[in-house]
Amino acid sequence: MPISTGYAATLLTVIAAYGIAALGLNITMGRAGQVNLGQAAFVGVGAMASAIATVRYSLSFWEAIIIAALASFLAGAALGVVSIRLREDFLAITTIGFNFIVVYVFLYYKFFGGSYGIIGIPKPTLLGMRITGFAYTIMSWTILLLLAALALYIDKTWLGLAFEALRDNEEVAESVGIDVRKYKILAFAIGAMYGGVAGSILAHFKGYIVYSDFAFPYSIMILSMSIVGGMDTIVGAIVGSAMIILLPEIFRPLMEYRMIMYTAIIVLMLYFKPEGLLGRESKWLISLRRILRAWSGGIRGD
Amino acid sequence: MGALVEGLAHIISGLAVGSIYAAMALGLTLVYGLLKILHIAHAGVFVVGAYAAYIAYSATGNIAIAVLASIAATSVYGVILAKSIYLPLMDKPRHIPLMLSIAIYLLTEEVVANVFGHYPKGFRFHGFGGSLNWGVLRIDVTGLTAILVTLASTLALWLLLKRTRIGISSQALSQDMETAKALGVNVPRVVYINFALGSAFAGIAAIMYGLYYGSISPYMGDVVAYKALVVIVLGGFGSVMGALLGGLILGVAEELLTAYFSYILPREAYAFIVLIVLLILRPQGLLGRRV
Repeated sequence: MPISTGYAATLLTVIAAYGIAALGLNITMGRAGQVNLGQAAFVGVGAMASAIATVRYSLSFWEAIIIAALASFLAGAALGVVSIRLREDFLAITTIGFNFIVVYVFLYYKFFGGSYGIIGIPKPTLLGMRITGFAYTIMSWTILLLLAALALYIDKTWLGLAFEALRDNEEVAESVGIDVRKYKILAFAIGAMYGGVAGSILAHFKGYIVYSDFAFPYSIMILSMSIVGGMDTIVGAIVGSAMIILLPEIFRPLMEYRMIMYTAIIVLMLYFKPEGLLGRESKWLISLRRILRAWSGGIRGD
Repeated sequence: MGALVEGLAHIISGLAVGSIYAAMALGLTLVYGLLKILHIAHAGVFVVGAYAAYIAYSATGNIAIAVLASIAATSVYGVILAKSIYLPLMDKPRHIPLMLSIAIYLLTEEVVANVFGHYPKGFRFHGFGGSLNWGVLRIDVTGLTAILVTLASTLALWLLLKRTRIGISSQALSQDMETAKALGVNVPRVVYINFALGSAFAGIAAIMYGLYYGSISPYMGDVVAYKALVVIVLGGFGSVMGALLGGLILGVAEELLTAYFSYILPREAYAFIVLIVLLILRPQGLLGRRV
């Protein structure tokens, strides 16, 4: 099967966008241990904010993507405030409910395009040139790498440590002076912001969005990316996204059974390999590290 | 007078829908009481029950066989889930069985959709339905049946839990699993029986749902599943009577809100909002006690 550049560019862009969304989920769930089963809602908030900013208010893509990030950050913070009162299971179903409510609001209010969605979302321009096709792919991967670097940076700071303390034991975290409320809200807000940026990238790539693009099954898709790759690593989110997007493309008959595939993958992974293929505890990642270290001649020596 | 009759009619259809939610929630309550797990896959059991009844009724045309087939299919499926998913993963972090449960629900839904088609199928028992006319008031027979069946089965379940050995073992288990085990309660057996019972209620709820709305679809569990969660939160967790009351309250509240304020949000959204508000303000449930 010949692979056209347009097709490759599309796949790579979608992988980058969902990689960003999964990366956000890895921060909220993998790092900070806060269950979020409604990540698609934040992708939706970002996509809508970006689409409305450009189509209705004629802002540029670059302004719109910032607005998208801010809007989803705030939406995430709102869910974070709610999360303070909830225990694990009930937090999980609340995030699902949040996803449903966001989708209903998109569907029910004309401002968000209703059942027709929003069309004519413009492509970004840079120095007077429209970014399309493969250039768009490069732009998405650049954003992905920047956000991955940010995630890596967060890991190294006090914020990352606080997230980890929160995940491992809330009471202990509180007892050593970590403001649990604040960091829970931040964990949701930052993870949601990644989702929002992903939404903006998807919206401007496709040129139209509709409420159903952000329904609960997409949250499950993003979740399966995180779970396959491994919840607690950055490379896990990206590899997970690539696997989940590419599998039905490579095995065409799987296309029709995508939801079966996502859910079966989640079931099998959670049952047999809950840490993910490239999670911190995973042998694959450890051997991958070893190979990389051998390549680089053990310069860093860790 | 007209407004009063209209209001009464809304309340009755609210009770009918609410009793379907309650029947669904009974199964969830039993499982939550025992294992402290939100059994989202219960909605998958519900879908299996609907299609089992549909197949049995299409093949035989006999209502009793359809009901039995639904109960048999759901109980077996429920026990399989307990045996393969919940019991082996008791020691894992809590979000793992929860996510598994959600994934299993979606998987069930998709498998049913691919086997029987994505589109809704008409569901009715011949010679069953219509309405009773009582002066100006018309009462839908299926709705009335749903209310009566749920009331009767809740009562039966309540008696079972209070009066029988297996019921008392379940209560012991839900209060303290380790102690119950030490006192000689056969844990897996009690769990299986509870799953079988709870799942049978999902089968009954599925039939009532099919009859009340006139059709079934692979995705019929989506909203009902969520509402059953709202119901057990409303009713306080693990309480049978709470689930019944919670279901009826939600059904009536929804019906009245949609009848009089339909323009703000679609019907389905209310339950989600109620749930979130309730979880924030009263996490122990409306009828639950603060622990």
